[in-house]
Amino acid sequence: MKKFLLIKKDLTLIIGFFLGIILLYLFLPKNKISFNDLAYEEYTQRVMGYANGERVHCNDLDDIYLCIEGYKKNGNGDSVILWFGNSQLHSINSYSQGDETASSLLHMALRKKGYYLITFSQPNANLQENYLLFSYLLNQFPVKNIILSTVYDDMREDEIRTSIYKTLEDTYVLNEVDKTTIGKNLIINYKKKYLINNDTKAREETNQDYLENLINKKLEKIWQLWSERDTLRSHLFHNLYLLRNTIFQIDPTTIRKKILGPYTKNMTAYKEILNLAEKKKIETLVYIQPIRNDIKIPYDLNEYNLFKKEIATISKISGAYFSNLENIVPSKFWGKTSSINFKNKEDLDFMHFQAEGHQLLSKNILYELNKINK
Amino acid sequence: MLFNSLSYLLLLFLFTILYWQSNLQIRIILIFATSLLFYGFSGLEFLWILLFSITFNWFIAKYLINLNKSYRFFLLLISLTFNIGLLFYFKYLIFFINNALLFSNFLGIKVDPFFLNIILPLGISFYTFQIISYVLDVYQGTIKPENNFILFSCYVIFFPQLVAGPILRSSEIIPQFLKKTKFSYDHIIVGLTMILYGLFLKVVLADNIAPLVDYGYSIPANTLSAIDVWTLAFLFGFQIYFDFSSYSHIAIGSARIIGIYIPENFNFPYLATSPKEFWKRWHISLSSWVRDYIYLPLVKSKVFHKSTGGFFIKLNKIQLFPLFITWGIMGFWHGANWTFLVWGLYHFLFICINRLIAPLTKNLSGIIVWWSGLIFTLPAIMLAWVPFRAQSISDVMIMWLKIFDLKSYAQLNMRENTYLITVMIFCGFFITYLLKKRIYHQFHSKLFTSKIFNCFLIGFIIFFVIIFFRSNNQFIYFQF
Repeated sequence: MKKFLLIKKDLTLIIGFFLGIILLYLFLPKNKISFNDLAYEEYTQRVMGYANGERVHCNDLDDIYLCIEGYKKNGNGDSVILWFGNSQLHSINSYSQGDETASSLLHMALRKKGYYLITFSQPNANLQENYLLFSYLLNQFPVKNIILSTVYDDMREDEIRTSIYKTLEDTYVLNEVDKTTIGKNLIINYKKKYLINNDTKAREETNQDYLENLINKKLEKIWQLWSERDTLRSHLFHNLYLLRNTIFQIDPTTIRKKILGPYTKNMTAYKEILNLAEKKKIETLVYIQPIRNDIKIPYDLNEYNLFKKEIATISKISGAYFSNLENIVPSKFWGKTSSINFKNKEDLDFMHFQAEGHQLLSKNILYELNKINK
Repeated sequence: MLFNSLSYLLLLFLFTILYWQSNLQIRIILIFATSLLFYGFSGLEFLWILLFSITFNWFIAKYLINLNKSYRFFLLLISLTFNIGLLFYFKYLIFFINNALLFSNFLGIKVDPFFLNIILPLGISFYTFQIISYVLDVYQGTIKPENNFILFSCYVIFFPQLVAGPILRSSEIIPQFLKKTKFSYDHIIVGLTMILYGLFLKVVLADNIAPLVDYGYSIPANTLSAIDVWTLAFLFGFQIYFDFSSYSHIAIGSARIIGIYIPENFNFPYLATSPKEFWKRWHISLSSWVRDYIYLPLVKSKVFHKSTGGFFIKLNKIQLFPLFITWGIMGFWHGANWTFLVWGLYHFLFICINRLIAPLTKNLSGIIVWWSGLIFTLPAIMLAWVPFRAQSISDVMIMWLKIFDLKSYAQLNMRENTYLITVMIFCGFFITYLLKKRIYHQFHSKLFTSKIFNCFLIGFIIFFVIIFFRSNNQFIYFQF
């Protein structure tokens, strides 16, 4: 009997183990999709801008070489205009073959005037990231103007992507941003992250890391699920996000409150971008990003109006050009997005518009730029 | 070597197979060799310090016993000076030099700063405390010195508890090495289950809380609101608990696989109803060590000589100075920073206040005392974690003062998820306690139901551990 019970105990662990594995296989999504691209399922297409077969639109330091190569081939040493924004710039709602983003359209228009436009955009890009990226790009291109998109939603963001933090590996950038309070703060946080990475780098040379990598690679070869763990993690987090939104009845129209900490940091970074541009004699166009206006916007209106006012005031003080483009895209050019909760099938998209919206954005920016570069 | 790595699991697997195939002598050699391999994997440069420390103290203890009283004391002093000196050099020298420089500058004496590159050897605080307890026990005649060098080494470097404890006494572990334990599936199953729980606490809970805490503490302290401070205090409190108790779980599980019992280091510490009870439930082996080798000798009381029980002493007379010294040392043991001293002194004050209040509650009913104890102790303990994690004393003060700023209770400065996750973990902690201690016992007698429950529990744990298993996150207590 005792032996029988022992075997039963063994089985608990073994059955539990196999149950866990079965659950993993059941949970594994059929379509592999990265966490950043979850918004692009069926309604919106990620489109990076091209001109004459070369990339004129990049995300960050991971793909910047494509834009540098493009400039070397087609730029002829012309003055560069940099455009910073979020996923609105690289997404087309209800995409059809041949649709182009504002970055490509504006690039072509500006090329006729002898300027070379390069766009940088990341999902939920925040102004601290833009500050780092701008400081880095100053040393890469002969910059004449910058176009800076300001988005109320992204003032809640505070994370700096590793692919943007990499800019601080450049001594020029490090020295430049070290002159400002927000820059110092970014360097401190970067060093914390960098030290962890350094630890990992150091361990790469240790026996443990060598062995760890070896076992990991072997395991990935013999067991496919092990190599799919990134997908599983993304899928799990996405489902938790949907679950949270379902429980708290969150949808795209739910009011997003200002978060003071990130807001203050991003506003400070904004000031530093304008200061740096002024110092380098680069003229700047700041605009309030278009937003869907046919239904109630998901912001506290008092907070949102204060934000717009603050952006405009700072731009005026710093001698930058300001334009409010929030209403330039009519409701018919917006679209839908896959639902952000389990309850609805689809939701309204406040951030990404259709190709016609891109044409309007490009035209409006060009109009404003013409005023600057008379 | 990290516990949350595939290489550790492989090492443990191979070690276990060889261990159960071997006779007693080979087993001891196997423990010794595996422990050296385990420590050496993180870098060979500190292995010699560890080995030198073991050899030196083994000789001292071996010859100490045969000498007369004054020579014995002299040898004890040499050993203590060596061990504390080693700890001081690696852990505190830079801190003291930096502070001396600041102080001299404050006095107007200009001293050019200089740079010292001293890296803290892994686990030095833990193995030094184990060695000190051994030498002191031999000196006091509580135990006989161990003649077998390998066996003594195994006590110090036993790989499951080498890097971050539990801090064991030689009398608890050496006899177990000498016992020829028979193979039992029970050891394997209990051990593996403990390791699995430990991995869950580390890779699923602690490592996923860490970015939220890191982010919260990267916000300038003066921009935080009262709710933010409470949230960060609780969140870090849970992170450090999950992180450290996971290490202890894996340590206990790894030892149990080969039939060696290591006492529990945690027992639902956040359910403590007083600071005294908290130190009976939190890092039990360290608080027991501090009790036996610092506090009780200072108050000239009888020492317990065991790594269980924690800092829970019933003394008639309150002696503040020994308590103050004990908590100062306890604080500094955790790290060379004034913030750790503040943490220690906070606990000292908390214990003093509790000793003053406790007699007043004698006439109240048990349930009122229990609930009020819990309601006051938990937030107070959580606030104590602020200096443990903050970068400077000024940040600590700003954060602590924030909780009295009633206006800032209406403001939130972090992402909504941070608050939500904190509440979920808080509730989850109490639900787990109820499940484990109350409800689980009720249907444990029903064999089939409990087996089904266990299968699903293990299944879910496996599911999450495999998804989140990553070997790039160290344990917090490695830095101590």
